[in-house]
Amino acid sequence: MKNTINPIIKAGRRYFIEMGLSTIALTAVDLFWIVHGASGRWQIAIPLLMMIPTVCMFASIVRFVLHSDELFRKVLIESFAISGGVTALIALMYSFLEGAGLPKQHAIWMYSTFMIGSVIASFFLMRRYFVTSNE
Amino acid sequence: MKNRLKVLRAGYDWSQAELADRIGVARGTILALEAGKYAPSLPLAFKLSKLFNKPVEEIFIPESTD
Repeated sequence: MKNTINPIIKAGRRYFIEMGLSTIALTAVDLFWIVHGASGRWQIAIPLLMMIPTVCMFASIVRFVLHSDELFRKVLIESFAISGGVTALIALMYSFLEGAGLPKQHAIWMYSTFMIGSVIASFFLMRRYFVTSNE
Repeated sequence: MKNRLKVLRAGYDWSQAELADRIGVARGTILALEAGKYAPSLPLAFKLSKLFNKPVEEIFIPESTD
């Protein structure tokens, strides 16, 4: 038995560390914004500053997908595809409803919908591949 | 696609985690492969073939629907 850490486990650990650090950074900037507020040039600078941990999150997701094994990569990409499609459908539907008089919403809901959708989709996809019946 | 992975693995007395480590995949992938829920890529099939020293067609058996 080789005494090495499985590369998939290694990629998973790295992903959770990177995502954790990015989430802490994003929360810190967000809290600073909420507590202190922003005016003048900071009104633009702080939202842009929040993009740094967000880009880091995106990079860690891409790195995790690339370093996963082929089945996990398949599950992740399928879940992103399903979630992207569902988010696009909801966005389209709501844009029609906005035309009918419903209030305009911030675009941030699309990000949340996409992320929640991909978690739900990956749960069902993992069940499909990894849950075995006792035949 | 059916396969003989479970039998071959048992022949070497390896756990799923051990086999996963040897070919560089997650244990869940071995689980899915053994259950016949996932057909591996050619590179992975050849890795398994090399590891068990058997031709690919002796490890993986296509079904009529494949």
